[in-house]
Amino acid sequence: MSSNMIMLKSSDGASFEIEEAAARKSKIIANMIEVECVDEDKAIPLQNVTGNILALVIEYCNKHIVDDDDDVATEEASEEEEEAKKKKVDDWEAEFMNSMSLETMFELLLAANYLNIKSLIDLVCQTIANNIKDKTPEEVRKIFSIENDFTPEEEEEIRKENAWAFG
Amino acid sequence: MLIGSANSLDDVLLLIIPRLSTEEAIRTSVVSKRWKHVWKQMSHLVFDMLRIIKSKKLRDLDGLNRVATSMTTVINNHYGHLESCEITHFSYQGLNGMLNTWIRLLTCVKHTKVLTLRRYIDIFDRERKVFYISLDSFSHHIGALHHSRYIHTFSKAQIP
Repeated sequence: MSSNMIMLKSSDGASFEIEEAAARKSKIIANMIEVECVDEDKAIPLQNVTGNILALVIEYCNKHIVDDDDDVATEEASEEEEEAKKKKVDDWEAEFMNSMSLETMFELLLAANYLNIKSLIDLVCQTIANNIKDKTPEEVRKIFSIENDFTPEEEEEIRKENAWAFG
Repeated sequence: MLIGSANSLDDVLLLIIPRLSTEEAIRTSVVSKRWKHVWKQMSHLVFDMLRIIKSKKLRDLDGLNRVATSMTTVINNHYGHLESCEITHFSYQGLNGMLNTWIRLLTCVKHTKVLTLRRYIDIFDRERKVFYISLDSFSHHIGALHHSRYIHTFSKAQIP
């Protein structure tokens, strides 16, 4: 595996070194590499991503590049092995998402979207969606610290308009 | 997806809310003004009358009709066109013309590309009555129509 290293710089000035293969998880960085926009001695500035969030993105990319390598090495892996490996990734992802607050999840989602890392966008969106599922609007407001800016009449009006979805 | 386009919460919500079921997504409209219209931009809607009837614990035709009518309102409230739509309905909506109304709405107005229809043989239809879907309903070309538990009688130029 090529171990070209790439430097990324967060909006708050923190520098991170990452393997090219991991960085390529980001479509936007992969494109920059393709068109040879990346200068080996210069860090790529990421204006919309802070250091703490970039660290999480890199953790995710590193983890998943290792998994991709495993796939190649064990092409003839049995079904059970495949399943076990998938479970390992799922467990890692569950723990990874579990370790962060909702606020961090949103920031991570913005970063994943900005960097265009599809699998990370999917993971974060699904985790947040699972947080909303089966919750009452009041609970959703509480989880996301949202202020209810509807009057009771307005809220009633929406419920009536969309009675199909409301119990 | 456009790179770097989701720099506001609105765009982020648009990524998250379509991952909920259609009814869960619609229920988020009362969270706040910011959330009110997000579901209306989803490109895929799933209407399962059986699931709704069960969750609302409805047992009579009146209730069934109310649900069917409110489903039409939901389709009307949605913004723009639809990529796909799935409907699981009772035979009753085929018999009373509601199904034709939905198909017309979904094809002519919502330009739905892929339409999936499922007929649920229900307690209101023990004899499995035959009903007709008017071909006029499909006046707009749809990319794909999936349907199950319908009987074709093309000689009549109708799909019962």
